[in-house]
Amino acid sequence: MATLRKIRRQIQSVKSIQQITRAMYMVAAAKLRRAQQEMEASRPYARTLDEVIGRVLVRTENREHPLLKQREGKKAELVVFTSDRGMCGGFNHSILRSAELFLEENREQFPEVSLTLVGKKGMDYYKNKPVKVSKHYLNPIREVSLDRAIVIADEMIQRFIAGEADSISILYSLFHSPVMQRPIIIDLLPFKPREKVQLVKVDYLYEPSEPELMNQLLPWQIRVQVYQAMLENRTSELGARMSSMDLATENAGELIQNLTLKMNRARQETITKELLDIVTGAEALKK
Amino acid sequence: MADKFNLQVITPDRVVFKGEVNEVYAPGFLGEFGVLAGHTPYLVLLKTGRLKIRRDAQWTYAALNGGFCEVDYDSMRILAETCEVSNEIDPDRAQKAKARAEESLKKLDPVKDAQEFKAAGAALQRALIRLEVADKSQG
Repeated sequence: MATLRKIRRQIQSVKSIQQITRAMYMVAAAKLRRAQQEMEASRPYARTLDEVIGRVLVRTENREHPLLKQREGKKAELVVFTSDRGMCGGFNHSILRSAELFLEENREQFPEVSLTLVGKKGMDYYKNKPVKVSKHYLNPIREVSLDRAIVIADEMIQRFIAGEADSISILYSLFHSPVMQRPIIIDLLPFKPREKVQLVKVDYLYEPSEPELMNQLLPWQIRVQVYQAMLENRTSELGARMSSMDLATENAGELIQNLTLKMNRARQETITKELLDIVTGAEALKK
Repeated sequence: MADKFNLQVITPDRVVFKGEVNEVYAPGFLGEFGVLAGHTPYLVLLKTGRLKIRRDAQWTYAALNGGFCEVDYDSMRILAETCEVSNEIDPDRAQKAKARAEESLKKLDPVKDAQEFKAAGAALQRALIRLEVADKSQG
């Protein structure tokens, strides 16, 4: 009897877990749709900005801007985007593995690597590790905004110009589909044009002067790039949460099925036993 | 009508306008400038101001807040920080924003709180532009 009650209780608890995972699945799915829309809406701006900068760089000989300078240096900075919350499968794990790999691979070229951590999971991971962390930020899903990206991007620009870092990269999770996200590392600074453009002979008319425009354009591109990384990362996080919660709900269902089977068997067993008792009792009375 | 050219107005969160137009006026770094088809390649920093777009005989107005603009012979791309077309603007909200900015301008000291003062001034300017543009949509 005790085992029967135990099994019933187990089924109950698995059911309530399933309810939670199902709710989380649905919340993530709803948020994912919006995050994906926002992410896609930001792409034309980033692409056009890249094109414009590409065209400017093709037209001018000027490579003197400090953000364009390749420097021989030993100091690198990696901005690592993770999530604040867990329950998203291997999402943070795969990002942090890429971060470790990056540290490993660049040990020769950049003996001094420091990290900027965006997201609580990354902060927790590097809390007790012998890696220099220059700054950390929280990364709540609701607060992905251009303003927040600007704060981080401007910090990076300032570190690069001040010579605190000779090379800056960002690591985040690229969104392919709800079941597929892949960590990716992109060089942020020094600036390299991403779009390939054909050479054009006509020069622009600039207003104000060309160096002044570069001064405005390049930082904007960096900011937008960080913004896009945040958007991609958030979409990936929600996708990972959605698919892992879906899987969890499915697994809970399987567990419930197995437990129900076990419970029925146990009940059957007790009934059989009771019947046997009655029959043997009746037989004994007959005699 | 005369030749048209392709205009795109894009902000970080959406594409505000896309299409063939005849004539555009935008707030450039040194003042308002106008663009017709066949304009010489031109790259300009934009200020907060009013954007005017003519398509055939119809004018569209928008409040623009900073950004860049690239003009080519047959196309024009405006990369704005924010941009609202006149019919999207809520005049009440703009009015409140204006009052708020004026209030803080009165309170702040231009020397001591230089940064806040500047921010409030910019906010006031944005609100004024929004109100002006919103007015156009009704008239």
